[in-house]
Amino acid sequence: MFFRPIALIVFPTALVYVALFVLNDYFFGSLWFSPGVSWIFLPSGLCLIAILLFEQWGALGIIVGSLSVIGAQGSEPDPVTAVGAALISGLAPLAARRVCLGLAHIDVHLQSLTATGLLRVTLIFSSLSAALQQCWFAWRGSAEHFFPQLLVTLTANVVGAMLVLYACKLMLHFSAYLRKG
Amino acid sequence: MTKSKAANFSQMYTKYLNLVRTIKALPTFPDLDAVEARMLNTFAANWHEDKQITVLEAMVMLPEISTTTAHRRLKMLRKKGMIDLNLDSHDNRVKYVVPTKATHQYFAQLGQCMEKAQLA
Repeated sequence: MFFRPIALIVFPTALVYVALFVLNDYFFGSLWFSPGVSWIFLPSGLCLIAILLFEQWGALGIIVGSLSVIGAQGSEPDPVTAVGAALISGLAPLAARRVCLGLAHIDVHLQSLTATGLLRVTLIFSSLSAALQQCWFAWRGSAEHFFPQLLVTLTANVVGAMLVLYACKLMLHFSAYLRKG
Repeated sequence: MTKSKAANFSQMYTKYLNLVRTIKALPTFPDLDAVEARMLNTFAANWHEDKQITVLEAMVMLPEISTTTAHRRLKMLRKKGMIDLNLDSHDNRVKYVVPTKATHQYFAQLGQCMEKAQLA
């Protein structure tokens, strides 16, 4: 019942999340705006794809991945805030999906999803995730500069998601090219 | 595998295919600018009539732009994979401007857009 999606979706999603987090740290580690807030956040691209494809199982994978990162790096600024942020990182995109079904006119099977629609969905995902994360941090009293951090998180989510989407596009292009010889 | 499980996987696969199609259709940079698009349209009209276009002819096809601009745009079109240059089999000094696969895809896409617009 539950084991198959956990093995096939949750763990691989969590693994890719951690890998993207490490990659993000490696390539864009110098682009920190403040501790924990970067200008580019690659895992947001995975959040978008995982939620669109796997819905709640994708969200669970993101939460597991996020918790793994917290486990490895330490819970900053405190355990409750960190775990809350991890939960939001999985649940916010799920909420964004619901919003998109109404606002961006996408259907559950993504049949009517166009390239422009996907860009609109990316913007909604990024905005909602950034807003909920920053609201949570503000509520927990650890957001010193709410609006600048909100803007940076939003930019990070959008840029990260676009980079991942275009990396996928590039991979699809090359895989088609290789198949044709 | 039960029916509902199979249906779930089938739905997931449909979503995957739709997402792949959408990602493939994401706009790429650089797009053609107005001059390049106009040059390509002029070439297309000739290709459609099975006429061969030499580079020299291509450079003077649009009277409103200079040959230097035309030459630069030809190079850009080639760089973007929208045209290719073929050598003449008898005279190596003559090069023909020929369409590529990307050119055919570009015009096919424009055709589909027109069809959609007519149906709307």
